Amino acid sequence: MRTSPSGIVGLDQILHGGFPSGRTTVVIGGAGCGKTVLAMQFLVNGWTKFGEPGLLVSFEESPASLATNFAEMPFPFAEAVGTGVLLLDGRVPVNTVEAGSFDLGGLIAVITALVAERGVKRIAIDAVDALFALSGEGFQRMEFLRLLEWLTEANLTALLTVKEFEGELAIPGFFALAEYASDGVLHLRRRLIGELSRRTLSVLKMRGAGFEAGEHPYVISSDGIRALYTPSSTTAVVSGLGVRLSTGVDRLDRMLVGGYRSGTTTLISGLPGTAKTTLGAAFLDAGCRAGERCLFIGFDEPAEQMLVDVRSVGIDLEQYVRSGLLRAQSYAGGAVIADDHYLMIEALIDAHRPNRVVIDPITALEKSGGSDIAGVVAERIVALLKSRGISALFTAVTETQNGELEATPLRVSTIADTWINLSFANQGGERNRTLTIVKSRGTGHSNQMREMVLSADGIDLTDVYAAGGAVLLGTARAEREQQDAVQEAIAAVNLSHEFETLDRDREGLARRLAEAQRGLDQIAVHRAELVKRTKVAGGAQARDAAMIHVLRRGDPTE
Amino acid sequence: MHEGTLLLLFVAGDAPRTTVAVENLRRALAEFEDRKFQLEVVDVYENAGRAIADRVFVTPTLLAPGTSRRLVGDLSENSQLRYFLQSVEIH
Repeated sequence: MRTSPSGIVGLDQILHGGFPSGRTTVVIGGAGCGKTVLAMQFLVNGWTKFGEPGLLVSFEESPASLATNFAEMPFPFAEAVGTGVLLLDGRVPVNTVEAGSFDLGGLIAVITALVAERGVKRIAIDAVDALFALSGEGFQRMEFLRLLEWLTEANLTALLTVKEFEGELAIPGFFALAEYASDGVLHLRRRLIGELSRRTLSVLKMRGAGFEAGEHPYVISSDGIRALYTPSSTTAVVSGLGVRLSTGVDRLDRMLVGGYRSGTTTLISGLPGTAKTTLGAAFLDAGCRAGERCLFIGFDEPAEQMLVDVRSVGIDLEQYVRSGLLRAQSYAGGAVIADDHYLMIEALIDAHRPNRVVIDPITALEKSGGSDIAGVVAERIVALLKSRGISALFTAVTETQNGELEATPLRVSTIADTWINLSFANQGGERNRTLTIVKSRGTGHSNQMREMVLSADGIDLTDVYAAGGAVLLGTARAEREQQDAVQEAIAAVNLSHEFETLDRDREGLARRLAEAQRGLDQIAVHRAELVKRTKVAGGAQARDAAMIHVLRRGDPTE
Repeated sequence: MHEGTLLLLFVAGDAPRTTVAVENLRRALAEFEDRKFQLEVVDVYENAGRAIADRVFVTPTLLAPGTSRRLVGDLSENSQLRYFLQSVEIH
């Protein structure tokens, strides 16, 4: 079946392409569910993205009020309404009185004329129930069916919105009517979880077309409706072993054999004040230095505050915000349901297209409707980032010192490829920061605790002294280092003495060796002379022996 | 030129409701003095632009330009029709 895409992120995937072309879909929803926004996006996108002229018959809002409401939306409402999208003021005038039976002949005549004149392909009637407020149920059923029949004959792709009040439709019995008479039914719902509203949409029916069943969360943001749809095939994306990305801390890069792997997720857990955000900032700084696009999403404090704070450790991210390489955004954690955060994050990623993303802290999602929803949403965020090949760093606030011993919130620790825990060590009246790599998938890594030192020059990690079961940090470590330095100096002096002695001995031996060599040379010369003299004497003897042999008639020699 | 209060009756082609409405209206008007009203029947299929301008989406619709009153339906409810005609006549 041919489909007409709505151009709404997520919804077209749920509808396997879009609304069935030439068919009528009924959109049911209560107040604040975004029925009008959905209808408007369907029409505006239809014209601006797919070149299909559209018509909105507005039975509730005047075109002037719609223009005011949509003027703030970034999608090209004004542009479309001026060109390919028509707005028809369908409000029933106030002093209308019934005086007998009537039908929708006027509406149908008007639409027929506009279809012929403007080539309208898409139509939205918002909200169709207003039209039926006039008369009895029998009329409503008959006229609704007539309207559907006519829309199909006209081959229009239509959306009819219908209001719902606390589960009851504005038109009694309309639910069943819409379900059997229309080609498709899309149900928008808004529910309260605590004090937060959660919006979900579900396709109840889509004749002749496939769709994703179940409830899909969606959000209405400044750029319209966005539905959360993570196809099951991409949730299982397993990242390949990516290249190494600098963590922004030299020593940490070495501990991780080069850095985090690209396309993987890193979790930095720890108590408040353990410099989790700073490590996140270092990761972004390293990315921006390498010319990568970066995104920071903060929940606990304004992003601007973070930018100022990290200046104290020599990280200047503001320059990258100005150049547009880094986008820093902050939200109030508990203001909306976690689904909405997901969709806002997805929208930000779509808009900024980052290589690196930091979410600080991911645990803020728990304030957005409880840990059950937050856990699912966190997993979806990880799946989303992996499917886009984005390297991510999440911070997580733990409530106890040994964050690593706790099951970390949101189960992110099980999904994360690398997990680093930051902590404090109290010793000798000092509180020092420590860093431990808890796990790092597919990477050899140091399992030693390191002391993390923050200064105006940046972040540094130093070895800690682990001797006799005690770990030395801060001043204790420094004292130990001082002692060691003295020991080393003494050792160095001793060594140089030994070197001098050895060198002296070597020189003496070398002298004696030279003398001996001279003696050997003299002996050799003397011996050579002796050999020469021996040969002369030997020659005379041989001649004498031959003579004797002849004289004595000896046997012939060979 | 103006020969009485103008009445516009919007109808959808020659549907049965059109005929009923026109008949009901003519009968009611006959009870008034001549030239009190001037009736114009507008077929929405031929004058969609006028239907849009007057926000006429249900038919038949009777309205008197210059007043906010309008009647929808085939005008078979006689009392409503009489009341309507009396109230717009004053204008």
